[in-house]
Amino acid sequence: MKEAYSLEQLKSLMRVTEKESVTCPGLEMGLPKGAITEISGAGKTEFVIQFLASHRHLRVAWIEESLSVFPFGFLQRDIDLEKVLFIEAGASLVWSALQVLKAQVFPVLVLYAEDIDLRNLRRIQVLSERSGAVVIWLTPKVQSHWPTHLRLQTNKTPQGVEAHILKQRF
Amino acid sequence: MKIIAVLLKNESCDDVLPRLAEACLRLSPQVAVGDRCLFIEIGKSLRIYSDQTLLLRLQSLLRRFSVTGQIGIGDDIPTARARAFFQNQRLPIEALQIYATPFRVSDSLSKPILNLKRLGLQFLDEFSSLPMASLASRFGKDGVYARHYLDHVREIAWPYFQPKEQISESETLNEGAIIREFEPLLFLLKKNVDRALLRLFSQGKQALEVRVRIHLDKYSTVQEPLREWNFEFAFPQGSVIGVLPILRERIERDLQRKPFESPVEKIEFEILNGVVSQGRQKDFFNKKEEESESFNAVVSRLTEKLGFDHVFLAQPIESYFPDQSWRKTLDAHSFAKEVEKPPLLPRPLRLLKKPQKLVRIDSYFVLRERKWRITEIKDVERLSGAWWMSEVEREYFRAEVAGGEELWIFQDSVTKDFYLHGIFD
Repeated sequence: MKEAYSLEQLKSLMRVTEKESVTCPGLEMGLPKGAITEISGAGKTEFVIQFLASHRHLRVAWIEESLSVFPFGFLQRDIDLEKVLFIEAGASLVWSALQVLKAQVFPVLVLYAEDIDLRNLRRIQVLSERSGAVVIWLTPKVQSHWPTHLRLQTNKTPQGVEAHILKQRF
Repeated sequence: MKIIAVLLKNESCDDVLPRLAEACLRLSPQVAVGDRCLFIEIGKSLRIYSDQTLLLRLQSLLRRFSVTGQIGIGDDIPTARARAFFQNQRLPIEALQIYATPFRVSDSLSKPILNLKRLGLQFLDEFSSLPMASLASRFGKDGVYARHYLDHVREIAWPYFQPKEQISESETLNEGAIIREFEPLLFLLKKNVDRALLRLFSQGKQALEVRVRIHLDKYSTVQEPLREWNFEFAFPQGSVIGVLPILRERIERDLQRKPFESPVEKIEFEILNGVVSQGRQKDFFNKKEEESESFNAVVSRLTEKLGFDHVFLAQPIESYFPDQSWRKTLDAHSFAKEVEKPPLLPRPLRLLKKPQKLVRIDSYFVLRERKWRITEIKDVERLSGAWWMSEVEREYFRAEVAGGEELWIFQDSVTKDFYLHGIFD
């Protein structure tokens, strides 16, 4: 009879496939590469900006249905604006995200959308895996779609923005 | 001098030959076209390419132009052509005709060649042993020219080759082929795009504006027998991988709305505007060039669908007013290397396109259904506009609200109304 694995052994086996991550201020484990990270809550954009400021050399695609970000605010927070491509995608948000991921020239993709349906989210997840990009999905409310690898909720404190992990996939 | 001659096998190659010659300009600037034959002087190119690489590139070009041919290399034009024709290093006496008229097909020496064979001369090098003085009376001027070229006494002048100004590639469908969908046409379009871009590349250019035309069978019921699409790219494109998805995206979208009314007769791809691009060698140790090409391709694809106004880099501009503090661009080179950050209070990360009027009720601000209770006000600053434009004076402040949100609100100094202008998200 085969020896049964202990839970620890199973966990260690699962860790073999653990995603590579990129360091992120305020989040010890960093943001996973080739996976979707969902961020909601007050200060979510600030949190992403802190992450981008700590990786100024990375090329970023910032996609929103109707663009509301203020690039001058990015500049004040030490973002290299030459590296950020802003895309106001309207109804073609998912299409734009897929094009960006297919091109494999953007190590970071930031999406701002209230909701993305499961099928499209799964397509984004598959392409993010292939391109190895950090995909950050900013959303006003916490979502519960399974393709998300890491789910964070941010809130503002006098010390700055704090992020709490709501879900993390191995 | 070292010459490559490419002798095309296809009978109807007159149309392909100049286009192929144009594409060959990438290998050498000295190219000539003769009857069914193309000559390339590669003596100086051998510093860049080896014989073997040149031959491989040529074979690839022939495949891409859908033609087959025989290749010969020689120290002069007739030798190269003769080797291409006979595929042999030691040339037979029949090659004399090629030496007499290297650029055109002729049979002016067919009788003398037959006589020479009867006399036992089998190979061309044996022709050199005949006395020069007797050649004019025996073989006429062609025989004398052939001997001069064979002995390298006379230089052959290269005919002038000028590529066509307009680059256009087209494919006419067989009469039996009935194609009404775009998918099978895509294969033909891909070939045409590839050829056109090759020709453009040989001129040191990349495509900035292109046109696709699809001619339909002109039935009496067909209202629009010619469908046409013009494309303007955000960045110059030099590869099929970059161009084809852009063409496909728009044409497919249009055809979903309005399908072809009759079978396709002809497909045409034309380059309307090309721009000079820097000659780029592939850097094996750095992927920067490849990345830049992919970036240009994806931006072109996005701008094609979303419009130039919706895909951009944000370039900062010196202005205290938030609405005028940046502009849209796609030219990263226009950015100042060191941007001096103006000494301003922190700006929000989200700005409303148009400030929204708030209603103040005690310590609450109300915007339609939303209501915020202000807990703290900080970072107050006054911004006033230029008097020569429109006199604006606003008092901005950062309002912390219950629940952790922070709003960027201003009060108009004239009307005393409050407006929500941004969110510290």
